[in-house]
Amino acid sequence: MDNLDKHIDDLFRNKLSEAKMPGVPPEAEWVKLRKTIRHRNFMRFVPGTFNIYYLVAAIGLTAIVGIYFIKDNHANEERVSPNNSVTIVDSIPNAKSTPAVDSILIVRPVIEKSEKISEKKAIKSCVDNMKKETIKPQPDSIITPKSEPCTITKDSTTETVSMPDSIKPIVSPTVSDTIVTIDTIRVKKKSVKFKRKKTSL
Amino acid sequence: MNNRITIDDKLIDKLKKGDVKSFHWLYDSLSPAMRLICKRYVKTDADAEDVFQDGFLKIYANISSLKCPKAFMGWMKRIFINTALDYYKKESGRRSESIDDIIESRIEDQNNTDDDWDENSLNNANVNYNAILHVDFTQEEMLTALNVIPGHFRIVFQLHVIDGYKHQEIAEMISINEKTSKTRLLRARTLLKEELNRMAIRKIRDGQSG
Repeated sequence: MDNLDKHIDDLFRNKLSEAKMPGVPPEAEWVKLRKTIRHRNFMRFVPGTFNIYYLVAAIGLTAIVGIYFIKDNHANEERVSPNNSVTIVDSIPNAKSTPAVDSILIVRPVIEKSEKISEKKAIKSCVDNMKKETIKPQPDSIITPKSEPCTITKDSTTETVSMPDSIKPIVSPTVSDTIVTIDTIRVKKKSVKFKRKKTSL
Repeated sequence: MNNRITIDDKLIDKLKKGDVKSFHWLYDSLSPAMRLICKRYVKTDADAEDVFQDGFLKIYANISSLKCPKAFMGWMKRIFINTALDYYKKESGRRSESIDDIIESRIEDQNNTDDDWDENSLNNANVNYNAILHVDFTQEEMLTALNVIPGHFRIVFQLHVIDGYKHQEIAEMISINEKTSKTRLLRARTLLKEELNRMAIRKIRDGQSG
């Protein structure tokens, strides 16, 4: 290698040495680079910063919780429908002293709209059954006046079935309740006795 | 070198934690030097910018693998060089450069642009290159001279002369044998000598006329 070659080498080494590069880099390019860095930061797992792994975990957790609640609601619906029981509680202040039941208080759980019709039917059939089972045929002369129809009044939470006086059951002190299951339209009675009150003309 | 930048352990720790402010500082401090490395290895400014961004992102992504903070500068420089070489390999894969074609086209260009240029001087072994010794070249001119010679010569010349790699290392880096590396260096020197001489003569002539 001659002197000229050495001179050329030195020339390139000095002029293009990285330490000699002047100037300040433009800010706009840093902004562009920072965006890329943040994106990469987001894409890799760094425990201290919010990244794609945390995002995926959050979405997954939300999805699991959502599915759980949806399933739970569905299960609740299923749980309610077979036990759509209506408890009929006799409101009897004094069983002995009161000759007849004034009203039957129906305490009911949450019932869907579609079930309301069947509920009404069930109550009606319940009342009819009660009539059939408990009211023994009496001589025409005794039964006066003719039995009036049951009236059902209801508000937002309760339904009240009012019975006519003529067929009002006389409930013994041990009588507590009657459970009506709507879906099966089954009346479960616990020693409910209906007695016709003798009336003299 | 008065403006040497010191990289301490604290900064390296912050960089390893992904602190964006520390990277901003690093960018402001070192990007001019690193940009120059990229500029040397690729031909256009746009390519150099791409290589620089890629290299900087590689530093960001791999800073955690740096074991010795004192070796940071060398490590960073190596990343930029490797990124530039990867870029060059990718680009040269697209367009295969033929040295003969380039020399021929260069002669044609010179004939077309500079009528006063003595064509025979290119192949004349006894040509006087002393003009190079009397002219002060700027950084831009040196880069221009580098960009004139074919890429495979330019890379070997830079790796050996400017970046200080040995022929064995160069051979490993660009997948050639050591002898090829030495040959390419000699050819690169000859071509650069010619190019610089041409530029020097033009400069002297322009100076005289001006």
